[in-house]
Amino acid sequence: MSEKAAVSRASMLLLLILAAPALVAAEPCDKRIEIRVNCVLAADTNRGLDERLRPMGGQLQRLFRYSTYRLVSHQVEEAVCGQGRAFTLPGGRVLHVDPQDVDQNTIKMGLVLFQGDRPVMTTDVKLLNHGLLIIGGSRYEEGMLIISIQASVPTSASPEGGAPAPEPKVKTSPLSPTELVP
Amino acid sequence: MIECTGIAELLGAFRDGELEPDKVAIVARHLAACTQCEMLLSEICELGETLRASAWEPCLDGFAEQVLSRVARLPEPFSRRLRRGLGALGWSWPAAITSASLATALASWLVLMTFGKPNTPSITAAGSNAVTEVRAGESAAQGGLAQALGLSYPGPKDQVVISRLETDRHHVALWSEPEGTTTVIWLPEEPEISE
Repeated sequence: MSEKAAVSRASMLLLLILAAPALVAAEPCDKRIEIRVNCVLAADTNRGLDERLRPMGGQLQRLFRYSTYRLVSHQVEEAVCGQGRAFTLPGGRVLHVDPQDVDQNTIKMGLVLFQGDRPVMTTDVKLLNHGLLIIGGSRYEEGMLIISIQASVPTSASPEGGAPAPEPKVKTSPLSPTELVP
Repeated sequence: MIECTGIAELLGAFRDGELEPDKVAIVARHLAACTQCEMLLSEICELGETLRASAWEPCLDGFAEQVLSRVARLPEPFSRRLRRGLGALGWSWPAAITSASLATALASWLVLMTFGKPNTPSITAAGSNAVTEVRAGESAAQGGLAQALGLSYPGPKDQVVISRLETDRHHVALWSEPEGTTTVIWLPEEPEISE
């Protein structure tokens, strides 16, 4: 084998090895991910718990200590990895959810919360399947806005390959309590 | 004629052959005519021989051979050894560099594949609040703003992992239910300042 041929073969092998992690990383994640976004107004106005929030009333009380919880909006969308979804929230806010990876029992997502056109928060988070992430602290009406984000991979509908990107499905309140918490 | 005192000062240098030729001629002419200075020169010569005899001279037999053998025992420079090794394999420098890069890349890839992505916390630009990696499921603490930036707790299990959090708010609170799968990011708005 000539020296030139050896060098060119070694270079090709090197390129392949260097590109391998990128190829692995680029492996498409085609699992459908269901994203639920609820917006809850929490205030100290002693009006109690919205009936539609009853399934998560105990959790809200444990996490926060408000006397009023009212469901403002509820949206559900489906997406696959790399397919971002935008949720319009009360008070001129927009939440971008960008599912990035599904690994065993976790879902990795990028989230950007906008207030108008200004990004208020950007985060990369790995949630447990069916796990809940709550973002709060923004003033809304007479209290605080609590945004709950739940991501889940439907077990019955998780094709292993070749599934087309689903059309976004959006539900908005009013809704029954069972629709809020799976 | 030069005085004996002046000649005596030059005798040492005369004996060692260190005088200029014109002074050598003057000293030699003086010595031929002056027995006193000739005797002084004889004394200087004797003193020199005595001193030389009393000085220890190291034995230099085999010195060169010893130096050469020690030089031969010195470790060969890496570059020369590498060149010799490559020469034995019939490789050139480009091939060697390519192979070394190949080996490094392979090793890095194996490490990445074995241990996963390196845990490199991200830091946001100045002016923003940043929480690096927080495993919210590890937090056993209940809520409140006391759970401030950058807290990380040893805990029983990993649940939610926040690998990056950037915000323009001055305070960020993070907490989660001890046994639940719920994590809270609390971004309190700054109070409005009334003018």
